[in-house]
Parts: sequence; structure tokens; C-alpha cells
Amino acid sequence: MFKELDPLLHSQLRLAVMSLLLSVEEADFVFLREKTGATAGNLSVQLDKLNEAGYIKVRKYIDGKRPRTVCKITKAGVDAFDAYVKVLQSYIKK
Amino acid sequence: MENNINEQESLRIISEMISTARGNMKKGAGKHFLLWGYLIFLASIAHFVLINFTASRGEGIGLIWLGVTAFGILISVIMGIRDYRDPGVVTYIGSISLRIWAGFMVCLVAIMILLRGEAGWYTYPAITFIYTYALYISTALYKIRWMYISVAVCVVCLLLYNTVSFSYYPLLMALVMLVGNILPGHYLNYKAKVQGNV
Repeated sequence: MFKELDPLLHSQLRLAVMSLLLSVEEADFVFLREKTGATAGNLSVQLDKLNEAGYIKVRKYIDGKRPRTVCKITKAGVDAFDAYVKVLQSYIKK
Repeated sequence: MENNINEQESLRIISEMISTARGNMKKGAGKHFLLWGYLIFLASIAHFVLINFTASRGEGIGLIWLGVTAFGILISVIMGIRDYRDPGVVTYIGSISLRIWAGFMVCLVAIMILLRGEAGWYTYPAITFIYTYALYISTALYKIRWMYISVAVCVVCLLLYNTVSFSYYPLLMALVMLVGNILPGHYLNYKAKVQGNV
């Protein structure tokens, strides 16, 4: 029996965002958009989903006149990512 | 963009994104290296010229060093505040490197206070000693192989302190800054520019 892959992570953009955030301490919206090649609207929606699940922490603030969004992976996010990779490995080994 | 990927694609995305983030150099990655490199390089050359080509025996050089250090710290703090406001990305490497060099700065100030007066000349080898150690760790962090040559040059300079006269100490310090800060600083900025992070 194979465990099911976490549906929240098993999505191209959300997985890309989580992989990026796992490798850095924190990253802003522009960095994530550039590296994933996603549109601002789509990225914003996916970030909200990850934030609601508690996988990432989103800090929003105004710098002068510019709104900034900075994201950081949480402990729950790291654990979920770890579990996702383990399930993925079991699928590949089958 | 929803669940439309298979296991192989998942692995490809994970591996691609992790390597992208790890190799990422932030815009101006070498600015702190350059700031301190040029400041100390110029101050060392000034000290060398002062004691070797003028009638001065280096009086007041302690104040110049204190001024250079205070100026460097002030500019570093301003750069740090700007970085905090404009984060882009904070990498683990950048964050650890910042802590290493902040620790080095504390040691540097402590050495300047402890070795003032008659023992002042030993400031150069003492600082070079701690500097070489910090540079070695930074080199391992950034994984820039050629910087090990810089570390080796610093070790040679450390040994040379034992054989040359005091008046050549500032010249050795200038060389240490050239290979340890200025060249790597320009290289880090170049790497960020190549990656398009400018």
C-alpha cells in the first residue's frame, strides 16, 4: 500500500515554491516569481494556500510606497516536505 | 498548475529549485567584502607610506584606524538596514557569513583596544590571524575553490610577520586585504551580475 502524496504539495508551483523556501532562510515575492516563472496572480493564490496550511509564514509590509511580501518556510512546512519526499521515494522504488 | 505532475516531474522540480536557490548570489553580494577590503587596504598603504617615506613615526595612526573602523561599521549598518528593507532573498550562506564577519568585527575591536600603545604593532598579525580563520570558513561556505589560494596567501603573510620588520607590517595587511576581500568581493558581485541579479 502506498501513502497518498500530500495534495497541497503535489502541484507544480507550490512544490517549486516550497523547494525554493527550503533552501533559503526567507525570500520575497519578486524572487519567488522570477525563479518559478509564475504569474503574480497565480503565485499569490498558491502562497495563500500554503500560508493557510501553515507550511509557510508570510510577512506583508509597506516599504515606503511599495508593498512587500516576504515568505519563510515553517517547521510544519519542512515536516510536510520531508514526508512528501519520503512518499515520493516509495513510489519511485516500487 | 494543480495536481498535474507525476513523481519524476516532482523530483525534477525539487532538484531544479534547490540548486537554483543554493547557487543564487544576491545583488551586491560582495559589497561588504569590498567596503572593508578597500578601507583597510587604503589605511594600510597610508600607514606604510607614513612610516617609511615621511619623518613621521606613525603618531596618530591609532586614531586613523579607529576612524576607519567607525566609518566602516557606520556604512555596514546603513547597508544592513537597506538589505533588511529590500530582502529579495536571504540565503543560509549569506546569513551565516554575516554572523562570521560580525564576530570578526567584535574580535577586531577587542584586539585594537587590548594591543594599543607599545604592543600596537602586534595588532597586524593578531588581526590577520583571526581574519585568515574567518576567510577560511567563508571560503568553505561559498564553495569558491580559488579563494583557498587567498587563504594560503594569508597564511604565508602570517608567517612573514615573523621575518620582516615592523615597518612592512602594513604592506602585508594590504596584501591580505587585496587577496582576501577585494578580489573575492569583485568576484561575488560579478557572479551575481552573471546570474542577472542586478
